[in-house]
Amino acid sequence: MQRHRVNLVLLVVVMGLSSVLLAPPAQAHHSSGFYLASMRSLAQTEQYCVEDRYTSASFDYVLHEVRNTLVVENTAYNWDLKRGGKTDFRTVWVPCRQLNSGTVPTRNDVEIEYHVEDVITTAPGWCGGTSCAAPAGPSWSGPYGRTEYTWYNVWLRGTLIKSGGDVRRHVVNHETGHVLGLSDGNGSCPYSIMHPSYYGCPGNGNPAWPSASDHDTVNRLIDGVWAP
Amino acid sequence: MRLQVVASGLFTVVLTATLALLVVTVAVDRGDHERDRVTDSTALLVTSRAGLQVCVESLGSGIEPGTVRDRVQAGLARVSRHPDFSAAGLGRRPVDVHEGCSAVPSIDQPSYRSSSRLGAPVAVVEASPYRLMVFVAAPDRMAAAFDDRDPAVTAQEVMCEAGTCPVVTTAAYFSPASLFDTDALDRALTEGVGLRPVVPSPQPN
Repeated sequence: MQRHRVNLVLLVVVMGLSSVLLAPPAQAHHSSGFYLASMRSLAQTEQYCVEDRYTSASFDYVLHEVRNTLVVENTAYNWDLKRGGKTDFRTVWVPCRQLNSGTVPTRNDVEIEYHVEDVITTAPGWCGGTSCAAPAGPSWSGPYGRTEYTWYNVWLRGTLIKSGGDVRRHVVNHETGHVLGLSDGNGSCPYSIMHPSYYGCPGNGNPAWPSASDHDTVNRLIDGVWAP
Repeated sequence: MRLQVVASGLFTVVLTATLALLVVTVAVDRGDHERDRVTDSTALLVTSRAGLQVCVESLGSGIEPGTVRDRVQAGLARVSRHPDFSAAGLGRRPVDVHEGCSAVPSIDQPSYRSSSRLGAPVAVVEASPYRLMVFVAAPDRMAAAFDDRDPAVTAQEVMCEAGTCPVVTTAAYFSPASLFDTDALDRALTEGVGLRPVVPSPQPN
């Protein structure tokens, strides 16, 4: 009888330990924290350039497709001029490689570089063969108490851009979502440009445009609110 | 009575096995959580860095490694007076400057192009313990790698997670001349450890 009691106590202790130690982590918010510092400034537009080194598409075509997605089409839901104009993608420049120390702006003034490559060549092995984004120029923000980034490199698969339509819109808007501080899916599937079918959210398809929730998250990040 | 003893023994075995399984599972789980992660809550950029470590290396520049270390150590002592140095987590431990970086400078990577702003950082799973790598190169090598930039701060390592590959380690390149230019040295070290330049207060008339 005594032995049964000991066993029961042990069982309770094991179950208690299990529930504490194996509990899943609290659901993470889908902001990445890799934040572009210029986003908070109304005065500072997000100047970006487009590079077309490793694609069979013409530069004019690539530029047109990227800019159309960011600025021209679907002005209600594209990323441009949101939060009272703090996101601003209207200023696009010639191929990034033509911006050097003698030009205005210089390449160092540009906050986002979009590299369109049919096979991702200049970031080999990083992107898992698809599009991705790399924040650079880490810089501590005293007022917000966190590291922010002064510029972003974005790689877009040229083959997807050339597919046109919603495929192109999805790729450009998804990678720009990273630039604005959003991360990929974390296992949950709210309707979001960051949680498409290929990240385990088949119900979402591959959205062409950021959702209202995506805009809310970015707006909170712009305001310096990091918690969900 | 005998049946009761067998049942009790069986129960003990099952309980012990469960406990062992739990311990193993927790150990594996903890191991996964302890892997290196990117963090923006400090300027150290990854969770594995407990303090600011910097390495220095002379790339055939003719400057003795000890001299490079002394210059960088003195520069970092000045940078440590930056108003954000402690808040950014850089002052958690005494700054540690090592001779030798045990890494290929990104300007020596086959994919490096001087026209690329990012340079040719390598993607890593575990970041280097060094938040900043300092390389001193001869003037002609600096010119070939950076055109007219001297000193130059570039990306040395990136770590990919959640669809993004943030820079987690930077490198600062100096020619012998810029290494001995105190303003240039301090500016590049400040940027290299991830702090913004200090804007001097306006002088009273």
